[in-house]
Amino acid sequence: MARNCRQFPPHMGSIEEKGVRCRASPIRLPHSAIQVGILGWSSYAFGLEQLQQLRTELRLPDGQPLPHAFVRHADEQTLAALAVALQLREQLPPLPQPERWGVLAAPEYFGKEATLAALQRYSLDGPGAISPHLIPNHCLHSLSGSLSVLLGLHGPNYGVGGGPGQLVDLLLAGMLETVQQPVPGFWLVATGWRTLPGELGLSNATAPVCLAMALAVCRMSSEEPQASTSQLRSTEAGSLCPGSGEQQLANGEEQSPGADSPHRAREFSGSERCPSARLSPRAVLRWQTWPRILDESESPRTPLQMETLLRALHTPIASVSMTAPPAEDDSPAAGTATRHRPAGERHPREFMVYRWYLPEVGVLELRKLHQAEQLLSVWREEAA
Amino acid sequence: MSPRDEVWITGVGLASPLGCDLAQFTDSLLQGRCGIRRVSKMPAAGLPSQIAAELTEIPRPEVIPLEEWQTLAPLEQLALWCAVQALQQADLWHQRDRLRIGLVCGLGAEWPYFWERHWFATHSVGQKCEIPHPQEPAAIGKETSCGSDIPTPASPLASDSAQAEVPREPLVQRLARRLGLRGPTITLAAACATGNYALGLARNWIRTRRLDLCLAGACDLPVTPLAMSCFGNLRALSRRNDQPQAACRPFDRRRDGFVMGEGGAMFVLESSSSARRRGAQPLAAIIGFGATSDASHLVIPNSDPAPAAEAMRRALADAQLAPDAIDYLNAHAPGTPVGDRCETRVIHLALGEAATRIPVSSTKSMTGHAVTAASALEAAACLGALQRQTIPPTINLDEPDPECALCHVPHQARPARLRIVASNSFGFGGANTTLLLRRVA
Repeated sequence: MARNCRQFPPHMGSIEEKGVRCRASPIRLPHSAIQVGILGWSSYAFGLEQLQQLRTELRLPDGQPLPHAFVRHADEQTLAALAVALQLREQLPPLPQPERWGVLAAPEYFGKEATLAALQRYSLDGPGAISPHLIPNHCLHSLSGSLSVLLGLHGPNYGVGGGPGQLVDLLLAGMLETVQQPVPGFWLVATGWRTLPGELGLSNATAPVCLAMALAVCRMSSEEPQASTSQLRSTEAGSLCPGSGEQQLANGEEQSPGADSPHRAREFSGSERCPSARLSPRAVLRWQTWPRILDESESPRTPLQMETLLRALHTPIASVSMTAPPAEDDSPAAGTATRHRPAGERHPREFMVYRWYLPEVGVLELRKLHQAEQLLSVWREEAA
Repeated sequence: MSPRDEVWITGVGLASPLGCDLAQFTDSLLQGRCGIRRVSKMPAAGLPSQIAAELTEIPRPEVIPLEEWQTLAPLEQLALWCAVQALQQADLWHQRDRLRIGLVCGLGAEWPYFWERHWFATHSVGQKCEIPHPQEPAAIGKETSCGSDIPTPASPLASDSAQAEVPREPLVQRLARRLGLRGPTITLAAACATGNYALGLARNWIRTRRLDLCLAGACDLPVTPLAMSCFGNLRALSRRNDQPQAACRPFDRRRDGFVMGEGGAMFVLESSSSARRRGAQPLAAIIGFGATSDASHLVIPNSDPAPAAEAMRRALADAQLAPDAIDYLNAHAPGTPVGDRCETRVIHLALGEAATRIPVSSTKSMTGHAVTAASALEAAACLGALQRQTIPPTINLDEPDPECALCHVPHQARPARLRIVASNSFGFGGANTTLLLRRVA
């Protein structure tokens, strides 16, 4: 797999090097936040030839080749997404109830080439020339559906975004679904076409690549109670609890407003339990909303695209200068990326914080924990 | 939002061939009117299926100037009409800039719609062009400009090329800006289950207190050359071209496929405490949502009913209800031989013995199958049923298929005491969803 893939991001560096800086926000953020744990991530930029190779070389988790019908009709973005999802799956420890996970996928301009080719065929040869596989394989829902089928995921699956800025849609929908749906976790996948400079800068030509990233996210033991039947029992801080709210219902811990209904369920299956295995997140994604509606002028917009998120995920903690610990409810003093070492800890747990400011959404914050370094080294070896 | 709050629907805007507001739409459904005709807005010769429930005219909201309206593509007009009507019905139009209103819009084929529209506005039939690789996706006009100076034949989708530009910004963002909404936006697609997912996600959003209100729904205009050809060649569409009104026959022994439909519906969702505070009239409470995936095939429903039945069970568990609480089930039932049979097995597995008593109908027999927008329109049909305390029928159900043995409501609407209604929607990609609504007294 590694030999088929181009390393992304091509230069490991801090966010500041790329000029993605943000002034501190004057708005104090509320304490409450939605947060999910990121168990792992994977990303690659595939050239056109590499995408063709994936059609024949990719193997499903059981070692089988891809189904013939899939190989023949799949969009290139689907292949790229599948490759990074499989790569991530290999890197992760065994997941609890993997077949119950959901998948959200955010491709960019998905199916454009197939649509244009179909339009050409329609113009030349009429309706009979249109493949019945066009819509099933090349619409916004198709990528998540394909991953659901190929990876055997029975949780919710749908496509989000579809155009520019699709990553914000993916993260918002992914966080909301992860904290509310009665499933252990979600695969969040994004893809898009990019043009990269020629090899080693020796050529002025640009090469199209399909950039793909996959995140495996899981519910955290939340500090914030959700007004939801999917709420989880609190567990120890920092651990992930990939269970469901249905157990709570079974225990009668939460009453819905319709609790006086004469038709209340008499029993629940109780099949969804919080597994005893605890998973450690390698990063935490938090979403805090502004306390009031903001104007554009009050909070500068920080670009959030796949490249920026990947750069943040792949940047080694050691490469970022140390700062004082931040106040939990305030913005960093300067810069989007800061590195923290909580004082007084015998074995300091360093982490980095990246924040993206979106006036209509709030603040999306990525906290990368020390354990992330382990995955990073694995990723580097694979890519080498 | 307190833990005891519910999420209420306080406004709805819709457009369908059966009416462009909830009252008209409900009247049509309860009278058993069918919106299916021969296709009129594009040449249908050569298409396997030449019938559809087309949306031929989209009303313009008074608040949108005519000049602005005329610059918009029909899909954008549709979304705008639905959103404005929903906000006005919820009595929020004049307060919208003071509230954090989110937008979750189901658009299954937003970009393909614009690519196709642009293509037919700028290319001649029979003309061959080189197709570049899509690394500059939004610049489709430039990439395929080889036909721009060739006279264009009557386009099925756009009257002139200037109106058919491919936008560079997602429709939801343009819509939010035009409406002056100040909250976040999300586009989502789960094929035929899109509308249910949009309502489920918006409900989550309200419950997590990230928004004051949320507009959610779905819109689709799939009567286009590509979509009609693709679904036709898939043999999913009815070929009863000489009997449009009798073509869509969910659960009937002689069904031969679904009929394409068009339309959209948007809903205003807010917490019950917010609605009470501002004296809003609730249309229904969203009390349950369940979603799963078949994980078996992109197109063919799973022969094992368990995954889809699990979606129904999750919705019931979410609402803390037993199956016999459901007073009416609006089935997905598109009228395909396989789909209706599979859904029947799903309903029996999920509801058990209650399945023999719960009235079931498919409003697609009248609206056609609006694909991405189908479940949003069916949620509106459920609101109408709750309001009028009457179950809309499945028309054309002359001879129920023995393999689709359910408590059908054939031909004519049936008055009933409706408190809780369910809506199933299953889609390509193996998406299974169930939505539960409750009447708010």
